[in-house]
Amino acid sequence: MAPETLERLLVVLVDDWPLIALGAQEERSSVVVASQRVIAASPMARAGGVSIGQRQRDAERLVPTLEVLMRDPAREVHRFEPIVHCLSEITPTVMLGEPGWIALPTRGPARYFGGEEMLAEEVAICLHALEERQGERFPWRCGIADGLFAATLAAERKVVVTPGESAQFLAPLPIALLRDIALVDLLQRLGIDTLGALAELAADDVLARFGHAGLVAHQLAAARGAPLPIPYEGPSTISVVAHFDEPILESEVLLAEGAGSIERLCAQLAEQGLRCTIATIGLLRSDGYLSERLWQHHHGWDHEGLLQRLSWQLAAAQEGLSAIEEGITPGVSTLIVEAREVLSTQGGQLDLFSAPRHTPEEIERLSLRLEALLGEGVVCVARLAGGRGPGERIALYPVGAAPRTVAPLPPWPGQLPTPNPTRLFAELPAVELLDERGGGVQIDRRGILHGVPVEVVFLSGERVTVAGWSPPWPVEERWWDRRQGHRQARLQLLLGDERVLLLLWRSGIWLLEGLYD
Amino acid sequence: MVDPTHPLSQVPLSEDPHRRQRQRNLLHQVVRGLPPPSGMTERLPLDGEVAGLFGEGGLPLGSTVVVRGQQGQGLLTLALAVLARMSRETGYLGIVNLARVGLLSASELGVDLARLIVIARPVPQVARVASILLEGCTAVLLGDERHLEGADAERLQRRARERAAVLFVLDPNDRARRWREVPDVTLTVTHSRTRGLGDGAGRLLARELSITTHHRRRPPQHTPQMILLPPLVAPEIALPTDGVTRFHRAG
Repeated sequence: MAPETLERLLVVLVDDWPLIALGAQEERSSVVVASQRVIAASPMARAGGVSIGQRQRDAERLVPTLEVLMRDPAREVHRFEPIVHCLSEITPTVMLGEPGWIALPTRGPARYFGGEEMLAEEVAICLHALEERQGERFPWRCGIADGLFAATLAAERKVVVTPGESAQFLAPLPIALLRDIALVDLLQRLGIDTLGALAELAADDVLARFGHAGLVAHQLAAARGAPLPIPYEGPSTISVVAHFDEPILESEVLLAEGAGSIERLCAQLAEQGLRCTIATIGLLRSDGYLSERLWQHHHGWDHEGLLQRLSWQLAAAQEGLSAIEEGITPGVSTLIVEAREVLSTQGGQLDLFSAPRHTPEEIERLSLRLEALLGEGVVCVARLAGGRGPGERIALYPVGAAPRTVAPLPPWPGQLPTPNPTRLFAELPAVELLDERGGGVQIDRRGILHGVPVEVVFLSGERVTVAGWSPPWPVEERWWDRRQGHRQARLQLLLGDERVLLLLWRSGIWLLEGLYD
Repeated sequence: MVDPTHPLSQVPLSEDPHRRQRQRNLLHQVVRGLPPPSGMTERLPLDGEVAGLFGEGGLPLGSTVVVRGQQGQGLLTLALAVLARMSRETGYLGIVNLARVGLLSASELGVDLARLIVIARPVPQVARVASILLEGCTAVLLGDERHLEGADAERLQRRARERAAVLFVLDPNDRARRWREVPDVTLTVTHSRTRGLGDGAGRLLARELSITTHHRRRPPQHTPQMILLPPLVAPEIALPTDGVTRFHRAG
C-alpha cells in the first residue's frame, strides 16, 4: 500500500448549524434536539453545562430556562444554500455532506488567488460580505489540510497546514476525534491516546489486531490515502448519464428520472461490491449552465440519501435561476450521477470484533426517518427490566431515549421460568377454562387449582380441548394494599392442537396473557 | 493491482454476479495478503441447533426466508432462534408489525436486545418501513404482512438482496393473504411436539419442531429435520422455581 497523497481541501464549518438555521437568538440558552438528544447548543446553554449528545431531560434539568427546538433538516439545507452559493463563486465544484460543512478542493483556486493563505483570506472576505448582506453572523471557521479528516480538524482549529505536514498536525490530537466509538475506547484502554501514537504503529499490525476499522483509523491518523482503495478493474468511472430530448422543467419529473438514474448507479456499485463515499451530481441546463456538486458521505451513499441530495441541488439551481432572470426558465437537459470515490464494501464487513455492520449513529438516523414517517415513540428499543410477568420484564424506550448502560438486574423471585411466551397480548382477552362437567376451573386463595381443565373457550367462541397444564405460579403483589393489591396466578396450558398458552388468573377470571409460538 | 500471473487469476469468472464478486474479493485478498474472508462476511452466523437447517451453504446474506406452518406451533421461536446469533455478532435486527413479540423470549433465545429495533405498534406502511429498516439492519422480521401487495413483496425481496440483508417472513397457514413471492428458502414446520407439560405437572421446557427446508436453487428435501427449541440446558431442568416448590408445599 503506497502512501497516496491526499487532495488538499479547504473546509468551512459553521458551529451549531442546526441551531443557527432555526434562527435562535444568541443571547438565549437554546438547544436543538433530535431523538431526545442534544445535537446543537447555544454558547449560553453550554455555559450552563449542556453538552452535545446529552439527553434532553438532563439538559433541561441543568438549565431550567432552556429553549428546546426540534431539528428541521429541510430548513438547515435551505438556510445553508447562500453560503454554498457564495463559496461556489470561488470555485465552481464544492463538496457537501451535512449542512453546516462544506469543502473546496484548493488546487485550482489556490493557484488563481496566489497561494492557500490568500485563498483562505478570499473565503473570509466572501463570508464577511455575505454576513453583511444578510445582516446576521455565522460562527464559521475554516482551515486547509490534506484530506477530509485533517482538513475538518484544521478548520475546527482555524489553521492552514503546510502540504504534506498533516500527519504532524494530527499527531498530538486526542484519539477520541475518530468517529469509531468502540475502537477509540479500545485504543484508549491500550494506552494509545493520540492520533500520532496510532499512526506510528505499522499498518500491517493494526490490520491484524483491529481489523478493517483499525486500518481505516490508522490511515486517517497518518493522513494517508483513502482507506483501501481497491484495485478496480472495468470502466474507469461508474456513472449514469441521462439525456432528455425535451429539457425538463418540473422538479418532480426530474426527481423521478433521477431516482431511476441513481438506482442504476447503486445497482452498478452493488454489482461490483463497492460503496460510493463521494458522488458527483451534475445538472446541465439547456442554456448551457452546469450545476455540479460533490456529495460526501462517510459510510457510502445509498439510494434515498443521494436522491435527497439531488433534490437539494435542484432546489438550489432553480432558486438561483429565478433570481437572475424572470420569464422563460431553461429546463434541465442532462443529468449526470457519478461515483467519484469508491471503496470496497467488503472491508466494512471484514471485522475481528464482530462490530455491527452499521454504527449506532446510522441506526439512530434511520430511526429518525422512521419516526418522521410513523410518528414519535413508535420506533423502540428494548431493555430487560425487573418484574414477574413476561411483559413486565421488558421496558421499551423510544430510540435515543434508552439508557446507554444497563445495571445488572437483581434476582427477582416469582418469575416464570424460561422459556417465556413469544407473543404477548396487549389487551389480555378473557378465556374460559372448563372442567369435565362444564364448570369453571378456579384457583383458590392459597394458589391451588380446583378442577381438572378439559376445555378452553376463547372469546371468539372457539373451543379447544386441553392436553396438559402446569401447576400454577402464584403471584402476590402489594398484599399490603387492599385496593391495589391483587392475588394472581399464571398457568401454562397445552392445547390439543399443540399450541401452548400462558393464562393469567386475576380477580376470579382467566385472561390470555401469552402464546408460545 | 491484481497480478495477472497469479494462479487464481486464471480461473474464469462466474456468470452469477454473487459468485463473481466472491471470486474477485478472494483474488484481491490473496494477492494483497489479507486474511481470507471468514464465513461471517457473507453468511448469516447461526447457532448450532439451527445451523443444520440450511445445509452446507448456510444462509447467504441477501436471502429471503419464509417460515410456514400452523400458528402457535413455534414459527416465531424458530425465526428468533435463527436470527439470534446474527444480532450478537453481525448487526441489527428490525421487527415490523409483530403485535407484541415477547421480547423477553427473544432475549432468552439469544437475541441481543441492544441490537434490536421494534416498531411498537401495527403500522399500515409495512413495505416502506421494512424497506427503510433493510438499509440499516442485517435482518428484518416481518410478522403481519396483511397490508403487503405482491409488488411490494417482490420489491422488498429485491431490496434485501441489494442491501445484503436477510428478510424473514412469518407466513402461517391460516393467513388470508399469503406471501406470494418465491423466497430463497422456505422453512415449513410440519409438526411440533411439546416437552415437559403434563396433566397438572411439569412445565414447558422445549418444543421439538419437525422442519422441512426448501431452497429455491437446490433439489427439494423431503425428510424433515428435528430441532429442539429452546435448546435444553441441563441445570435449568433440575432446578424447580420458587413458585413450583411453594405450590408443592402448599398442596
